[in-house]
Amino acid sequence: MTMETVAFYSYKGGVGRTLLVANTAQFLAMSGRRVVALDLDLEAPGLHHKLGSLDRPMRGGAVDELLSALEGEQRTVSLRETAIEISMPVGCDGSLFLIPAGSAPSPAYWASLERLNHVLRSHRRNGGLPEAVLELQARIAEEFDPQFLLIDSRTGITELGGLATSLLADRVVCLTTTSPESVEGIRVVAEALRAAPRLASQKPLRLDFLVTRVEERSMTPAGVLGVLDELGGPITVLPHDSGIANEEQVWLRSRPIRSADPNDVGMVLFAATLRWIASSFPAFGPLARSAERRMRAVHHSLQQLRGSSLLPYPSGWPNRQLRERVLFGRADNSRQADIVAYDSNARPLMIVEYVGNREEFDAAARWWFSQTQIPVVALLGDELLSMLYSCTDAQGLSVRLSERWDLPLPRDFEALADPADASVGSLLDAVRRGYPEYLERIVDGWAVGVTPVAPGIVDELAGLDDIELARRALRACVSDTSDRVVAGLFAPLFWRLSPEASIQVAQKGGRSVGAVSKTVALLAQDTLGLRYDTGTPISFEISTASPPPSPASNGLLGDYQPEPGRVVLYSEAVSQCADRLALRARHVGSVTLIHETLRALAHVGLDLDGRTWPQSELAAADARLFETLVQYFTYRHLVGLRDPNLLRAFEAMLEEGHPGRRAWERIRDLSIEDARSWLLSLRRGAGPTPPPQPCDDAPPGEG
Amino acid sequence: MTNTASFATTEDELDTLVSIAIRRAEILDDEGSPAADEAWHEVSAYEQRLAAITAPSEIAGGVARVGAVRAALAAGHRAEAESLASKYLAETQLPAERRAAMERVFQEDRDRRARHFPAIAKSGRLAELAGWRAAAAAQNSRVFPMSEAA
Repeated sequence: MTMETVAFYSYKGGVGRTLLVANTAQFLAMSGRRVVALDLDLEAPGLHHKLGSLDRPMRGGAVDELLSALEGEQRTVSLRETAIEISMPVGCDGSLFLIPAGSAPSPAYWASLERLNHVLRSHRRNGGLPEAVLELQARIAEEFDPQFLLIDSRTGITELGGLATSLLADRVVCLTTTSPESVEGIRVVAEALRAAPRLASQKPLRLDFLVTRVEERSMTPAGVLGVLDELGGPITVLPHDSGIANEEQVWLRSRPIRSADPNDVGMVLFAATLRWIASSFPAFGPLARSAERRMRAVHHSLQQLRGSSLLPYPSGWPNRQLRERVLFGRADNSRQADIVAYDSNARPLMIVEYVGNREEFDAAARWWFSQTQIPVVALLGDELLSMLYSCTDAQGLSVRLSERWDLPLPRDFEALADPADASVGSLLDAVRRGYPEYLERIVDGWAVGVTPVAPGIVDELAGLDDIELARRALRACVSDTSDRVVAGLFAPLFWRLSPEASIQVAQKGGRSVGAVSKTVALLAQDTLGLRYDTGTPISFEISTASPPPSPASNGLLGDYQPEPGRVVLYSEAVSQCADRLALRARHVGSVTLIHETLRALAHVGLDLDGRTWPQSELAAADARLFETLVQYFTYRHLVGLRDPNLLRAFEAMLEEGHPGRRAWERIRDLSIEDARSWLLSLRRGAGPTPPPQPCDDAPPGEG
Repeated sequence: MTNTASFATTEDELDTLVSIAIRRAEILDDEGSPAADEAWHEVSAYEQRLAAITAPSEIAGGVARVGAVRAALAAGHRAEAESLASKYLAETQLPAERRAAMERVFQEDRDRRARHFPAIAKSGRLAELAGWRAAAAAQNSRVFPMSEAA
């Protein structure tokens, strides 16, 4: 197998060269290739830092190998014993060996380096540094049979740097920042490399150029690109990433999350690096693009876990309870988590792993549950797809796929019976168990279109009996007064939740005013076909006073008072009615509230000509017809709300009243357009043809 | 090269100086001194001067020519050794045994380096290095320094 040697060179330090060597080496190895990374930055070695092998004992390195070659000593150890194997994720066929410069920084290393310099000055007879570096390269090829040898070359102008780039390399990746001295240095060196002699068996040297640590691509001075362009070879711009610059992270290393900066994961630079790999090593293009998708998915998840995106909850995971890239399982059966979330006792609560291929999700989830005791597993796919699993048996063999799309936050593990289950029912259960903030979660989730089973959300919330919770749910809806949220959530809840809660919210003012106005306008438009003019607003009130006497009923439950345009609900009367009919007071109240609001709208609503209908113009006979129509419209609205409790209450309330009140039943099947037409006829003072059967006497709003 | 060498003009004088220089270089070699390479380079210079005043057909002339090449190699100046060898081998009067000796000098050098660098000897790149060195030496502009003289 042919080995390609790629040397990474920069004229100046601090350009991110060693980090790029480490990341490229890791990527190629993770892509199934055999890779050796050689640290020839002998005066300032650091590749072992980047590749995370600091805790591994170093038995020699490049300096000792060069030294023994030059001195002609018989080597007693193979390069494999000197090299450090960098562990790869499970299932990865590739390998990565690091040949460090030596045990730097240590006195022994500096002594070896000094000895090497001495030998180079005094022992040329046996051959010089060219022979020694070529010998090391040849031994690497013999012992590792790698497909790639990546060399971290010394900066500046040095003999070893020159040999690494001109004699060993098949390709040199030249890195520079946009600083003039760095660019000028690279220009001179690149021209020298272009003219440098090659061994007879070598192909012409290929040069790639990378402009690094660029704050924004648009800020790359045109002059820099112009200089490099004249040198030939592809040019890539890598952005600056403060997180990586500060913490020097590479892909594979397990690490805690330290910084509060949401950008510290360094996705920007990593993604750009992958794009460079895809263009510079075309055979790895698809894999590099896939790796970039993985990185984006993990980054997105990390942001979500920290509560820094999408949902404005302050209770994200603290950095100290998150860790990236953690290996689980035994050596022969292990798996790496991309993110692990821990509780405060360092017990893992949730695994996040990018699997990519949706078909492998179930198997991956089963592995996690069968091998660990972790409650929740989140598997990520492309397009930011995330699927949550929870375990349903002790053996971890039966896994449950959640419909939850977002990743659980710490509070979820406390409040939810199954943190992977964020259905409305589950969240409401948490609300009932003392976590009322989940109401906002439900509403916000629905508002941004993420709560699953959205059609059921209104029914679930409408089941809230507790007035305070009902009020909180309505208030949560008010945080978004867009037409979609009002029509889909606030309006139906306003009519279906306890009228005490609805009226309290209506009286609250502020953002509630807009939501309530839109709700009333929707009722006017959708049911009566009239326009609600907020210039003559309807207000709502609950009265504990006794209702005014009514000659034909047991008493008023509610009323519409044209002056000052107020819908009143008599709470005592509502309670008594509910008791008599064995109904819930809130259901009786809601029906009354709708009925009275419709009656109010029938008067204050504007027709196409912009006219209202003063109450005083209504004749007694027409009043009965009007009441029949209002009952019809109430029924139609209740049908639209699809609330069986309210429909049952409506039927029972009319059943209890005067028989004439059931006149509406005779027009139950009337089209709403005809009913609206009759209402308009009444408002204009002309009777409809044929008129509907009016109810005999019942004034509106009587139970 | 020392001042003494600069003024020495006769064969006997140079012969004496060569003997002294060789002894000095051997001692420095034994001590592992960094100055050994330079000492051998000085030996090569004396031998070249001897070669310049002796005919290749003479025993002294042949020995000096082989000695100049051997000392240049001992000094690690391979390109110079190659250059000298080319020049001397072009002399038709150089006896066959001296030509063979010169070949042996290079063969010994190759064998020695092959023992030091078996992997590149096996791959053939050790042999390629001579051409690479010559090309590098011929370049007028060299950015990267090399510790050995080409």
